[in-house]
Amino acid sequence: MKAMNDLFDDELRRRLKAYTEEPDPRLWESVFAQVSTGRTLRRNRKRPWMLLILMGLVVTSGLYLFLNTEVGTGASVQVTDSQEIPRLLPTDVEKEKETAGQMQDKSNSTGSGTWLSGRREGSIKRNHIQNIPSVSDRTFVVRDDDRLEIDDMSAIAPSAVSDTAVGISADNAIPTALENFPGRVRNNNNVRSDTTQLSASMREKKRHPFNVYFTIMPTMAYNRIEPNPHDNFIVESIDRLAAFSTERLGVRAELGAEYPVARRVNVFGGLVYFQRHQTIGYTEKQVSNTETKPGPNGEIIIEPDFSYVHKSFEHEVRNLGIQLGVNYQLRKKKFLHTAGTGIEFHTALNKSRPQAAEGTTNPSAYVFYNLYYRIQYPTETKLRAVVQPTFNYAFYINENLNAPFYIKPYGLGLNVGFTYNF
Amino acid sequence: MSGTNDLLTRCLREDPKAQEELYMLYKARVMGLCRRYTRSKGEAEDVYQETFVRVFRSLAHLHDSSHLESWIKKIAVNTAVNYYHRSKRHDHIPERNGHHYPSEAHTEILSRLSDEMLIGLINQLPDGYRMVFNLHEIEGYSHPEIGALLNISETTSRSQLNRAKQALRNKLKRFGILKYESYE
Repeated sequence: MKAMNDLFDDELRRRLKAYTEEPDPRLWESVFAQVSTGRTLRRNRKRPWMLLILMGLVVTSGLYLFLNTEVGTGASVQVTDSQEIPRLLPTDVEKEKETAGQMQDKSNSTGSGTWLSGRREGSIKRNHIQNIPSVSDRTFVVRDDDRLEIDDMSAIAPSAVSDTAVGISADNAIPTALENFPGRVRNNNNVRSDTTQLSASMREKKRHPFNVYFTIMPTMAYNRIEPNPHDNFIVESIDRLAAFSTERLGVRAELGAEYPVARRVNVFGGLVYFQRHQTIGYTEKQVSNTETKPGPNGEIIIEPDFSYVHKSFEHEVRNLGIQLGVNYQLRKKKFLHTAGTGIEFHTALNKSRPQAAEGTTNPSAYVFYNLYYRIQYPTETKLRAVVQPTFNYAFYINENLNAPFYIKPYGLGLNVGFTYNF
Repeated sequence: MSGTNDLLTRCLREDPKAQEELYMLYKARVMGLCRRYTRSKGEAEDVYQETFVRVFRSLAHLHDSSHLESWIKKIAVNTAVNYYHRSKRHDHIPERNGHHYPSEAHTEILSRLSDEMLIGLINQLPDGYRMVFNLHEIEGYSHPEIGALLNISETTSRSQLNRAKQALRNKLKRFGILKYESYE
């Protein structure tokens, strides 16, 4: 009977030991992606890709909107003055005169462990072994107090592959399972787990479900100014401001939380406050006088005389908004480097002035696109200092300006602040 | 061996081609092992991926390239054990129907079974049985070692191994064995 038993067992062992199976070819892509980007292992392998696609869409749409605006910066807007003087028919004369009069009136009204070392003798007693199974604890850690914890065993040290470890046999009773574990048992009392980067990050994610950030930054504010083609004003030019003029200075504060969705990817959401005030000087071309004379074919030709009036416009932005976006961790060594992008929906706090005077703003809502690079230090503490160069650009504005142009603000800023990691 | 050394060196430099080459070398064997330790193909794929990710991330710890295969295998086994702990299920353990010792017919029918069918039988075993069976019968772990790995007593390990074998024989019986020796 024993011989039959052995025969059966041998056959079973031989068959199973030799069993191989071709994996799904797509698995390599998944493995490679995880190895190269360090993403967390997860069953749903589509999620990181979806986040990357989302991030890509946000970035490209922001760039697209930015690059497809026709007008230059606020400091260099030029409005053509080579406007053709129309030849007007007699029936239009009165209308034109009326318009010219309105323009004149308007212009006059304003101013401006590892667990390895040596061999452990003896066997592990049942009552000295304690299993602590959990998702985040993934290595077997042998402590000198004879506790065995289950944790990540993939942190295999070089000595893990010893001859004895390779040739595992049933007779290999001493020193029990630990012999075959990838590692050594320390002789001192300071045995610590040596986990892989992967399990560490998983534990980190488990321990720190979210981070809170607060940053405040001075912002150099720039404008993209587009003349309004539908009003009766001709903007001759807009005053230049130096690129780093103090006139451009604004302030921006952010408070929010970020939540990890993959090993390197966090989504964030929070509040943002943005304030700045800028005086925009511009020169308006006005019709000061018109001379009417008959044309050779009986029509009436109106020849206007132009005058140039310098005006100023107080552009005030005081917004409170929400921001949503994603962060991608690029590197974590001494400093934690993160790239992030997002969208901000602002509502103006200084809006409710339906009959705003000319030369003042009457904004209501903005949508900003935001791109930044965040550097945090130190990486291992809960409270971390943050330095964050940021670019933001308003690609949608529901802003009713009492000025002959539209303004789309954008800015370059340097956030300073802190994050607190729970 | 120098070829393996070269491959490992390139892998350590994170050369994608070398990584793929290494992967291709061991993929079938690792998947075979993962299939033995898990209940379904989906689970096996999870363990499989985790194994290779750990292999690539821990390559720096491997000093002797001659042990590469056993090292990878050990990572796969450890990953499977971790997976078992993470996804512990409370299997219904079938009642014992008496001891059925293998007969010639068992061995014969075993030899006629395809690999897929055999793996299917292993997959059907309760998780604990399957773990003990694989660790002891295939990997050669001793019962104390298995007890430490799975957090069970040595006696339980022995008992589960016997039950696993018994369950396998019962299942084999359904594949056409009509005659077997039975001892109560």
